[in-house]
Amino acid sequence: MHDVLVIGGGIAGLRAAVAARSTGAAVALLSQSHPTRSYSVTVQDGINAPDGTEGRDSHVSDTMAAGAGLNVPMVVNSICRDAPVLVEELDRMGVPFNRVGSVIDRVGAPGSSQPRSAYVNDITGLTVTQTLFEQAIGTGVQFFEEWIALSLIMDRDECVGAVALQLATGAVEAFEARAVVLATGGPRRAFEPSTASLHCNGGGLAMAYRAGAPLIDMEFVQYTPMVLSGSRLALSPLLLGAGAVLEDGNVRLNGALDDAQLESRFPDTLLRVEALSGVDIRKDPAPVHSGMARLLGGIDVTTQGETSVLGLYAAGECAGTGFHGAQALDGNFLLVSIASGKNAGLTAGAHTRRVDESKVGEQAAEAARTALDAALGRPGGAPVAALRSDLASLMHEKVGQSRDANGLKEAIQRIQAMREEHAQLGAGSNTRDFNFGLVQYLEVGSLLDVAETIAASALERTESRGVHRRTDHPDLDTSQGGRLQVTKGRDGPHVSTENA
Amino acid sequence: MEITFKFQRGGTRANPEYVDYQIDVPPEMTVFDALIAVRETQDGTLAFRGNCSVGFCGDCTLSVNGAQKVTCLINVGKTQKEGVITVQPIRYAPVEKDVMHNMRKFLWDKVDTFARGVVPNGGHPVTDEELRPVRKAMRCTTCGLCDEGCTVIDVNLDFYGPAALTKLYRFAFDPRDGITAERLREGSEIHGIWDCVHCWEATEHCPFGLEPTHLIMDTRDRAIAHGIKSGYGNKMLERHYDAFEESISRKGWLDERSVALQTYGGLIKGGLHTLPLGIRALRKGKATLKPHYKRPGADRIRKIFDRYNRANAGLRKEKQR
Repeated sequence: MHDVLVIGGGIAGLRAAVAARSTGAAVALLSQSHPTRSYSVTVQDGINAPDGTEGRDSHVSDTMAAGAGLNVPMVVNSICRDAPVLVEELDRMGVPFNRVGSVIDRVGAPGSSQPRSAYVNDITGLTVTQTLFEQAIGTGVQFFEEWIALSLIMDRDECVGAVALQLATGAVEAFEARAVVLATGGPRRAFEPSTASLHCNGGGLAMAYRAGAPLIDMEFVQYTPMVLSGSRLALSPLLLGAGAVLEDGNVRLNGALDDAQLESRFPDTLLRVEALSGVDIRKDPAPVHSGMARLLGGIDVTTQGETSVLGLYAAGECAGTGFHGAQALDGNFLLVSIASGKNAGLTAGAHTRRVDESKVGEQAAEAARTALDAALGRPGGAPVAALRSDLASLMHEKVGQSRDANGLKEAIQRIQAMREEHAQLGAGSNTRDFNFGLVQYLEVGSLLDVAETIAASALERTESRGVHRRTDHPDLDTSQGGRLQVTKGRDGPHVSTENA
Repeated sequence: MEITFKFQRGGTRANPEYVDYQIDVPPEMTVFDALIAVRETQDGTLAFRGNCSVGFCGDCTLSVNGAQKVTCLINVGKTQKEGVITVQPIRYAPVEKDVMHNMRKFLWDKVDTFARGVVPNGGHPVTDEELRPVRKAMRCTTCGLCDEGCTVIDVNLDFYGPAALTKLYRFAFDPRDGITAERLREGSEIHGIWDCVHCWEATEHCPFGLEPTHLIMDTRDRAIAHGIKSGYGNKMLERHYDAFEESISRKGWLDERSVALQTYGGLIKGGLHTLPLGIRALRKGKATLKPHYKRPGADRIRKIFDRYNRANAGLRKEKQR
């Protein structure tokens, strides 16, 4: 029995683990890869954290302006107030933030009225992930690497752990815990083009949804215009802050940075653009296109990271904190992961609920073993991969940057048909150890569930707001200022307006 | 472009057993994406790692056509030879299955040894200049290619290796950390910084230009400044290096006899230990009983030592702080 089980080893999960550990709780962290292999390491944004009252006020107002009336003001105020402290904490933990003299530098990002992003060259995500991992190692977090969470263990209406599959052996075990923090990231693999890592499959969203926790703001899917052509690398918005321009599908430096500045500020961009597209950005513009970058909604949580299920918490991209509203500002993404991770970790760590040893964990594990055994015997591979790729094209075309009622209805129908097809499929091989066919089958199952909640929410919101663009309802409708919640009904997702 | 992946699925590196997979992919597709396409559509049991696909997570390191690569940063067109890409595990890394390395044993247990987070020293405000070495070391994706190139790991898998020692460097040069000396002592124990043979292969192999061999050399300087010399934790080695330094600085060259005697514990203990070897060496004319004189110009050599000690006085003070 763990005090706190964190699922997900990216920035939010690691921050949650470190915070939970600071309360004295025994913390286990379960992740699909080694934590420093998580999607978080690719994020090159800065962290919005202005110093001083004036800076904070403009941070709040820019965030609210981008969010188009759907931000939760209390959450925005609270996280913006905490932001400078969160950055100072990271600095003390060891993130080597760029400085001017000995003061942490802040630069501008698109959409910001003032320079407010703290950053580490073009490797903010990489250094924050490494630093939090170091802190987790130093404070004695117990790691379970290359385990894939399958489902939550529910004792009546309470969450008391999770069942997970070990990639190396195929073993399925119950991880019982007094508190579970989901920090599994976003469902990028449901969209193509996107900035997805292989593991961005929305597993936590699907697990929570299936266990009865409501999701919220799921219609808000944000694209970035800066995906390097032919790759899934999102170029840093800080390039634009440093004077580069985005025009005609190209990022041009326009002489804003000389070679020496580029090599010292953006060494990893330089190297990767050259490796991935053959372009030397010192000489030539980098061709880019838009791609799905992040989901703004997620599991409905309070400021403290509590979901509506007792014992279950969520943080990072899989959490619908209400901070972003209908559109996220560059530089707020990492901020929310860090803030929500810390809050959820502290709450979960302080959670002293008594959980008795019971048989529900082993029962849940046994049920999962039976289901997986059946999946091992069914055909898989190519047809499952085709489902994923069809889903990703469908989501991009009908549920992407531009939507209408007909397209969304078609998408929902096709997703339902795909789910029926998925139910007939499986792993494609009965190998137990390192069965990636089984993993793919499970991931596509999660993506289908999450994709359906996105499409259903987008259909329900008959207006255009933030990143949600309806060609059949091009204007903002002031009467739709409520957030949409999705719960799992008997016949599919049930969408309703959240009670304010 | 029609590609045949010859994928090692058994056997040894020297005697590999391959399974062939054909796939039609654009030449600009990365090798990693092409391998994922093979696994997703043809064989879900193909075991290899990888996640981010944009060169940040360091998880997809493999041997392709005999060269060790981060496979998401190279494309199929340039990698293939006559339409074939041979995929094998990287050298030295134990294999769990197919080309799935045992990274815990090869890399993670070693990195984690030095990964314990910053313990704040509550010190002075830190400048950008001071943090540059930390920022450089943290560009490391732990792809493992430096360890793969390491000529010490080739003969001793227990050597911590350049990747883990880059992590040590990251802390040894972090001005915010309060346990620098403790970390350097840990790193100076057996299999640590002093076991590096500075062959510069790590620097050659790093795909991100982080120069891990240089980082190890800089960490050694840091250790010396903290009064920690090569052979830390091993009395015999400590004596050996002290004797070596003393011989050069006093006599201007190596007095092998006295170095050997001191290394093995002084005149009596060392004498007994080295006696059989000494007798054999005398018989073959490889040693002499004549005293070992100061070489001409020894005083000038002495001055080099003096100059070094003066230059490092500041660093030595840091040790006391």
